[in-house]
Amino acid sequence: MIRSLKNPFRLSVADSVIAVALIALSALLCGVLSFFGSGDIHVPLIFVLTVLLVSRLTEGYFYGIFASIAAVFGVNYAFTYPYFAFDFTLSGYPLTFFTMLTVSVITSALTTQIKQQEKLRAETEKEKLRANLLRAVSHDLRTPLTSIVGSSSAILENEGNLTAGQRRALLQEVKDEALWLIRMVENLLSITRMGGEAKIHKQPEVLEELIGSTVHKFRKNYPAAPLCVSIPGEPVFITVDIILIEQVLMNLLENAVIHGKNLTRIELSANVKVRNVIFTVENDGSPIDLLILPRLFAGDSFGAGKMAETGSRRNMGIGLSVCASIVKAHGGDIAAENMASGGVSFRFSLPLEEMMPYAS
Amino acid sequence: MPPKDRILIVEDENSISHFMSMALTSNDYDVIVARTGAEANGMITSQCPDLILLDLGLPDMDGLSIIKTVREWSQLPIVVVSARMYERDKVTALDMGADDYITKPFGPSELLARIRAAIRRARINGARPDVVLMGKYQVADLVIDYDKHQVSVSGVNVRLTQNEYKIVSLLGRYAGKVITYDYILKEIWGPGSKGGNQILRVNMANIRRKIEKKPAEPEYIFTEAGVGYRLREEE
Repeated sequence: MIRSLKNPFRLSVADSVIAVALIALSALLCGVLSFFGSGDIHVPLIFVLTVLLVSRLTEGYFYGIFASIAAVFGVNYAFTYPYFAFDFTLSGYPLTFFTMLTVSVITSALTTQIKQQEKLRAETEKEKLRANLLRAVSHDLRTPLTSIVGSSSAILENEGNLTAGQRRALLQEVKDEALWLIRMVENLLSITRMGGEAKIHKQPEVLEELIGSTVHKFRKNYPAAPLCVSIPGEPVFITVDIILIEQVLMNLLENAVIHGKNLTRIELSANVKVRNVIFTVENDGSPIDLLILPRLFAGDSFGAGKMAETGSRRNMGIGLSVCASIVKAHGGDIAAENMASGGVSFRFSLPLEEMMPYAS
Repeated sequence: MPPKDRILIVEDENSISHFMSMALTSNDYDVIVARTGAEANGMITSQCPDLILLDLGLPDMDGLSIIKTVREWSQLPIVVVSARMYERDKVTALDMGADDYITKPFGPSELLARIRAAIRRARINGARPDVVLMGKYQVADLVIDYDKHQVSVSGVNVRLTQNEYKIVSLLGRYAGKVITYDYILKEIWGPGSKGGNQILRVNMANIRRKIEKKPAEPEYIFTEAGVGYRLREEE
C-alpha cells in the first residue's frame, strides 16, 4: 500500500521560495508591461499562468491556493483601477477569483496524483525485483540442499554397503554444495550490507593490498588455478569498501574457475586510465552464450527463467548481479565480453581518488 | 607423553561446537565447551584452559566482554571466531587483546593451524614478557636482525627508513598475528597521530617494494582487508 502524500498543506522552504519568486516575477512583468502602456488586459492572464505554474511546481495544495489569493489581491490592488488601492466592487471580480482558485486546485490535484503514481510505479518495480530475487534464491537454494540431504542420507542409511570411494564421493558432494551455499549467502549479505542503515563503508585503500588480499584468499581456495596478476608499479590509492570490492573480484575469479571450460589461464589486472582504475579478469576458456551475455548482470539470467531448464546448472546470476550493484554503488561500470582472440573478459572501473598530498 | 593442551570452546551453536571439538579431540587436544558467556567465565577460572576459542555472538553477553575480563588478569591466548562481514568486531576484539581470529566458514585444518600458532606464540612471549627484542627473526629468505636494526632478504641488506624498520620489527615481534592499523599507528607515530592510516599505508607500500618480489602477491607481509597486517610465520 502506498502512503498518500503526508499532508496536502505541507510547507517547505524550497516551495515557499518557488511560489514567492514566481509571484514576484509576474508582478514585475505586469509592472513592466503597464509601464510601457500596453493596458491591463494581459494582467489576469499572466497571473492565471503564475497560479498554474506554482501549483504544478510545488507540493500539495497550499502554495497553489496561496498564489491564487495573492494573485487576486495583487491584481486588484496594483493592476486594476483604482491603482494601488483595493476595490472589491469591480464587476467580474468574483469570477476572476473563482477562476484562479479552480486552476490552482485542479493543477495541484493533478500534480499530487502524478507524483503518487510515480511513487507507486517505483514501489511496484522494487517489489517485483525483490520477488524475482527471492524466487531465484529459493530456487537456487533448493538444488544444493536437496543434494546435501540426499548424499548425507545415502551415507547414513547405507553405512555397510558403501565402498570407501563411494562414501568419499558423497561427502565431497556434500562439501561442494555447502561451499556453493556459502558463496551464495556471502553474496546476499553483500546486498544487505549495501542496503539500509549501514551503507557502504568507503575508505582509502592501496590497490596492491586489495588485489593482494583477494589473490591470497583465492589461492587458498583454488591452489591449482592458473592465475597471473598484474598491477601498476606505483602505489595507487582508491576509496572503496574493500570487503565489497574483494567480493566482486572473488566472484569474477570464481566464475572463471567454475564456469570457464577448457581454460588454461586466468589473468587479473588493474590499470590506471585517466581518472579511473580499470580491473580486468580475463580467461581463455570457452565464450559466454550470446543469448545470456546481454543480460548477464541483470540478475534474471538465472533461476526461475528458462535458463534453469537448459541444464546450465546453477549459474553466476546472483554473483554477477551483486558485482554490478557493488560497482554501481561505487560510481563505476561493469561489462563482460567475448574477446576476439578467444576467451572471456570481465572488466569494471572505479573512480580514482586524488593522489594524496602526503609524500614520504 | 606431555599433557594435552586444553581448549575451551565458547560457542552457542551445537553443530559448530560439535565439529570443532571433534576436530580438536582427534588431534590430541583436551576440549571443554561452554554455551554461554557465564558458563565460559566460570570454566576459564576453574578449568584453566590453554586457549579460548571464542564466538563473539553469545546468547547472554557480548563476547568482547569475555576478552576484557580475561585480559584483566591473564595473557591466556584467545582466538575469536567471526563472520566475514563483521570486520569491525574483529578489529575491536584484536585491539582488546584477542590473539587472532578465524573467519567463518573455516575447515578443521585452518582451525588447527591457528590454534597451534596461537599457543606457540603464547609460550614464546610468555617466556620473555616485554623484554627488548634481541636476536633474529627469520622466515623463508627474510631476516629481521633486532640487534643490528637491519632487515635482509636472501642475504641482501634492505635499506629501510627508521619508521619502516620500526613497522617491520613490530610485525616481527608478533609474527603470525594480525596487527591492526590503529595499533601500528599508535606504536610508531604515537597516540596523538592524526590523519588516518594513509601514512601507514604509504610506508607499507614502500616496505613492500623493498622486500617483496611482487607487491600484489606478497610472500611476507599480508594484508587482512579492513583489519591490518600480518607477517608470515614459520610454518
